[in-house]
Amino acid sequence: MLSYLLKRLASGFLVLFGVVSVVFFLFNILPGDAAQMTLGQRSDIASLEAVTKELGLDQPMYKQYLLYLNDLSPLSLHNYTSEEQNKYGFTALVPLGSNRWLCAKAPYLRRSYQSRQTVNQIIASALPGTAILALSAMLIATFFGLLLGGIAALFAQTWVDRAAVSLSIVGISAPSYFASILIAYLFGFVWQRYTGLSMTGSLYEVDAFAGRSLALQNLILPAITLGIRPLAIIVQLSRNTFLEVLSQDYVRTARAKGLSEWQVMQRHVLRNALGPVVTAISGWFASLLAGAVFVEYIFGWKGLGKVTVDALMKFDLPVVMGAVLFIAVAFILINILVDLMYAWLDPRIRLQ
Amino acid sequence: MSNEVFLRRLLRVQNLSVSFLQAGTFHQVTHGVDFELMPGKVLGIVGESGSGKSVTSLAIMGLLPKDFARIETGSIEFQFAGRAVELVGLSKDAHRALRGKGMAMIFQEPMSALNPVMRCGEQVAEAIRLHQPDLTEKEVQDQVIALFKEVQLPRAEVLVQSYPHELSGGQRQRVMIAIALSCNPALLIADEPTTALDVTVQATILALLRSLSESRGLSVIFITHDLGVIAQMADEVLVMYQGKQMEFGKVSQVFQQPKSSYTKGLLACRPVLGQRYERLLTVKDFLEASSEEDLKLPVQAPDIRTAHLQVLYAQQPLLEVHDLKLWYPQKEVFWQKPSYVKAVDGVSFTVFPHETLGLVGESGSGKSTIGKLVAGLQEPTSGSLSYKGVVYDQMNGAIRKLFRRKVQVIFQDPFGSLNPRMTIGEALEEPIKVHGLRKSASERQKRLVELLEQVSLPASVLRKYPHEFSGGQRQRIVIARCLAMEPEFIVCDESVSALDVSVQAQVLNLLKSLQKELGLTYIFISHDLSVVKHLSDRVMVLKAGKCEELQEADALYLHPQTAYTRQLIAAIPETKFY
Amino acid sequence: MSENSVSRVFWKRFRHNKPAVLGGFFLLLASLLALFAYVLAPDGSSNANQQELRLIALSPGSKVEVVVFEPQKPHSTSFWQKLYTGEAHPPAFFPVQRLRRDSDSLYFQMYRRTTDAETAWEAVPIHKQEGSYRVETRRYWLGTDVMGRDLLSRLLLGLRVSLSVGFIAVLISIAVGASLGAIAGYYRGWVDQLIGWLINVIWSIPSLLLVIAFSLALGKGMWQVFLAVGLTMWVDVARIVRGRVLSLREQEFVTAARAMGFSDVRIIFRHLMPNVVGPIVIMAASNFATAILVESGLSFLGLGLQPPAASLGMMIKEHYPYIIMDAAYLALVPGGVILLLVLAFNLLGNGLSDAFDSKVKMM
Repeated sequence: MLSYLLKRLASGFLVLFGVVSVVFFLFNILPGDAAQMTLGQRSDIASLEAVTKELGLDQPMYKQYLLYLNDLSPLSLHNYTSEEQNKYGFTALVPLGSNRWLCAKAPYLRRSYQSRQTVNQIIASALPGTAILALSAMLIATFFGLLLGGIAALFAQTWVDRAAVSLSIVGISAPSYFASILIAYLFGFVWQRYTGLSMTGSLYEVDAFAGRSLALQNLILPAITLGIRPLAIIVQLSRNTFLEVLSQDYVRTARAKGLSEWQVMQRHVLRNALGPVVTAISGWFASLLAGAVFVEYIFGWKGLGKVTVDALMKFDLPVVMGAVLFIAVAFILINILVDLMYAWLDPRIRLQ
Repeated sequence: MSNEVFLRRLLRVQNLSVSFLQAGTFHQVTHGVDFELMPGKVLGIVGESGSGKSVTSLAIMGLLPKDFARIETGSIEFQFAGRAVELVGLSKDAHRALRGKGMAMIFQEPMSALNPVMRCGEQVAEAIRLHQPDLTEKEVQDQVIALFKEVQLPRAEVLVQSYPHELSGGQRQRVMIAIALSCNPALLIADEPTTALDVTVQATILALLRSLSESRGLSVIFITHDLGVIAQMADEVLVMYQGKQMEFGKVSQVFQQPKSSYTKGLLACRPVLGQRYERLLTVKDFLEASSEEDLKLPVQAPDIRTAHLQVLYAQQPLLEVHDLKLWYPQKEVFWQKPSYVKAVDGVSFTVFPHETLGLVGESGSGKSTIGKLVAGLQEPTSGSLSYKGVVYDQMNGAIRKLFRRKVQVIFQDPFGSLNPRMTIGEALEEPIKVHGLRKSASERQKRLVELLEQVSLPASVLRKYPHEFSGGQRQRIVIARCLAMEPEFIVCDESVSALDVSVQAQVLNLLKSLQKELGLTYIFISHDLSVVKHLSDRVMVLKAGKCEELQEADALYLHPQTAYTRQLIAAIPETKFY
Repeated sequence: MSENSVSRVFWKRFRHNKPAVLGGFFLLLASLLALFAYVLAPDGSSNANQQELRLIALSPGSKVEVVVFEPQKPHSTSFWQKLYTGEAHPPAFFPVQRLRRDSDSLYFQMYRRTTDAETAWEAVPIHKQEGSYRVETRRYWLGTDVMGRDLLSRLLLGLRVSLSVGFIAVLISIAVGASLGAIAGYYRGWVDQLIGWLINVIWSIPSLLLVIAFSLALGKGMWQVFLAVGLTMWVDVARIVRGRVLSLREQEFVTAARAMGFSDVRIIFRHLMPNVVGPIVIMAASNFATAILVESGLSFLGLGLQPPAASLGMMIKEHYPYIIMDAAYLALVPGGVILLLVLAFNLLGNGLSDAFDSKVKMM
């Protein structure tokens, strides 16, 4: 089990390295002068030079790449100067001569061009919104998805089944921005007087007089909207998995023992069907962190997706790159967790 | 029939017909089956695929898929708790109440029949708890251990805590039997329970079932395709063919004086260890025989055989294999020193032109791997192979291509060996084209018809797809495709194992006559010693990647040199009556 | 072809799936509409971009009288040219409220939304114009958008963009994905590990953000968007094909092909690929749907096609601020079109996968 975990971590690290490289090169072969482009209107000479220096834009591409890797790596090489110490906040570990030190630090995602905040800070402040939104959406999707999927499997090949499958296909087909607009329009505007919900709003409302206050009702519409697609997919997946497991020989054995249908379901079908469903749910949770882009944008929900889009509009590349990397790391970690969970659920995998 | 017998009878099936839904309509798959079973007796139902033997047993258990199958006519009368219960038309719940307590069932694939995520002991305990709800948990666990011991599982206390994948095939089947016995049923239905097992393991499971039947007074319905198993196991036998009942009676009577020609054919078409026949009789021979003369088995005279062997071994060997090894490294984590799985571990042998060398062994013996290595489909870890004096490693370019053409393989699975997306014509023509054996399209067409003639198939099959054929026909097509390459040397890897016995006899005959006609050399690989012995000049017995012994085939049977070979021969259930 | 060939059985099963057949027909119709969009659209100009500020947000079904000026030297556009790019130089026109003409002059009142205010009659002497004019009544079946363009024409062109993106992206993704997947699955070993690594890398980056990164790197424009979407979606194809090939290569017909001395290329393309066609076709349908979603999403964010090109996503973006006014349908109609397109592809894909493999239905 431990060696399995180590193996998964090692391959996860390799994948992460690939992600960093892909992200770096894609965002750095922009046509035109990156520094100029990123600064947009505020392109006075001073800030242009500052950006050029920080990004090492006057250096050849491979040096910029190495610099980026060094910035990201928790173990990195730095000059022991107060300037660098302020920038990275590292702990020097091993001296390597001529004031070079091997240092430990939190990955440094650079600074926003726009706000001059560090990207780490920006992500940290946007993360709770997205995490809560994604979590609520997943809870909704999992609960109703398993329920509907189970019902569809029990009534397979009847109108109940067909209705559930058809509805789920419609759910998969709805573009999230369209669903967002539609739901915001209907529940936040047309029927506003019945629902009492507003079209936009974040988890915390900032009021000039009352200050910051929690506004949980703002969560309802975006969470439902974000949950539609995973809900639809969980319905289909759990239905198919249930049917697949029901056709297995060991279910026949269980019936031959004389167990009732309910006992067969509960004791033999559920646990075997859980693996694929858990995988799907966790996979979706990971991609919801990113998939929330449109929902957050339209509902004006302050989170990672909205931050990323806003940064994109202003060509604030460090923020975009930081967000992409952060989501990729979350995705990789969640997938490792899922694999471990799968191994825990199925003793056959545990052995390997 | 006396009244007393009537009362004691456990099961009586009368005129049972079942039909299945196919393409929208119901088709009858069994036609009026009649038999009865006494307590403590073993009834064997024997038949080939599609004979309806499993359908009959599922109907008794009430496990026919409810939307796809229905019982058309007949009755199934089952003695339970002192009265006769009619099972046809019984409600779902009432039938369920009978399962476990009244009747239990075990299946062919014990791996898939056990829940992979539940401990073995728990799977037994579950059934006990269900049917004896007043037992304490301690009593339940004690019963599980006792059952594990009764089915002769070693280290019962440890195995109750194991998952199915941690057990061997035979052990899994014992767990299945323990589940079946857990509620003390009067009837046990065993559907091909030993087909997936090695022959030595099969022998122990058969012995176990027999002894359970005697010690518990348990009635058993034993379903199998293997007449040998019936001869060893059963008191009575029911022979089925294409959904129809051919014969029902005492084993001794049916085997000694079979009434139907189908039963006669079935008894004759299996190769027998003690005899050496030129060819095997097939069921078809019996169904079409006009006189007794047609049904005489041509036995090869010993002196002809000796002369034949002398000629063979005076030649230069065709294939020489020396100290062949294929080891797979295995490691848990990368810093560990690897341990090795030794699939083939130092095997040496030679094959002479026009000879048949048989390789026999149980699963994991390395016999198929040797076949792949000989055909050049896998690289050995070490050791040398040479064909006509040319070492494999040194073959290149044109020689390699020629070798690829001259040495061919016929695999086990006739369903998997043909590309489902190619017509038979395309599949046969492709090798001729690739190797440039016939230049023009018309020449190739002529050749295809010729090839099909050699395997007794009509030219009309050329435009069809593989899924339109039966297993035996497909294996003929595969043989034709192999012949298209004009090979000298063919590795037959379990080539007849997936076929029904009657079809198996036909294919064996075909292989034998082709060898004579075309001067082929075979390596014939099988887990079935009687089949291997029937075809081979010499036989090599393999065990765990090593050669146990290599001898002339008849001598191997009459004077086995090692204990393992003796064990292997003893384990083969023989039809002693014919 | 034989009576029982695999494809026969397949079509027989597929025909019984009504939603899938319906989806297929809908897509056929949509493709025809998209192909002949410039001929069928009421506004056949390039990008259906005839803006008229007096006609902003007309309600559906509005009728407007317009005066169209024919240029003296008409630009001749060939039929094929028109089919491909639309009318590059459409004649100028303006909407009028009322018309009056005498011998050499045309008098009209400019179009106004409210009829109460009197506008002065303007005289347009005919001879001063470079060409002749004609008066016609234009009907805006779905009304006009916020720039006074015919919504129906814009929708038809948006449909055309969506389907082209899907088509090109699916071609790219299948070409790249199927070859890489087949190579990885067939050769295994380090080749497989390398390709598997690449697949995992691409897979770990959220696809929308990856498409954005690609389109930033490739520059803005229609073809760049096509390429970016295609290069992102090959991963799913590669995963499926790799898995299928891995299990297929263990089947005996592949070993048999190797034993017969066939070359690797022959085995991959002649023996393995035809057996992967099913999953690939199913993937193509679902990738088509995904590509449409991604392109319109990209355009919604303003990162995809650039104005004045018509894209359904961009149309939603342009009209989304107006949903709380009376013109919510301006944003909802293009959204509905996307939904229908994607739905049709998903239904088709489901039908295909059921027809290819009815395993689940057996029990």
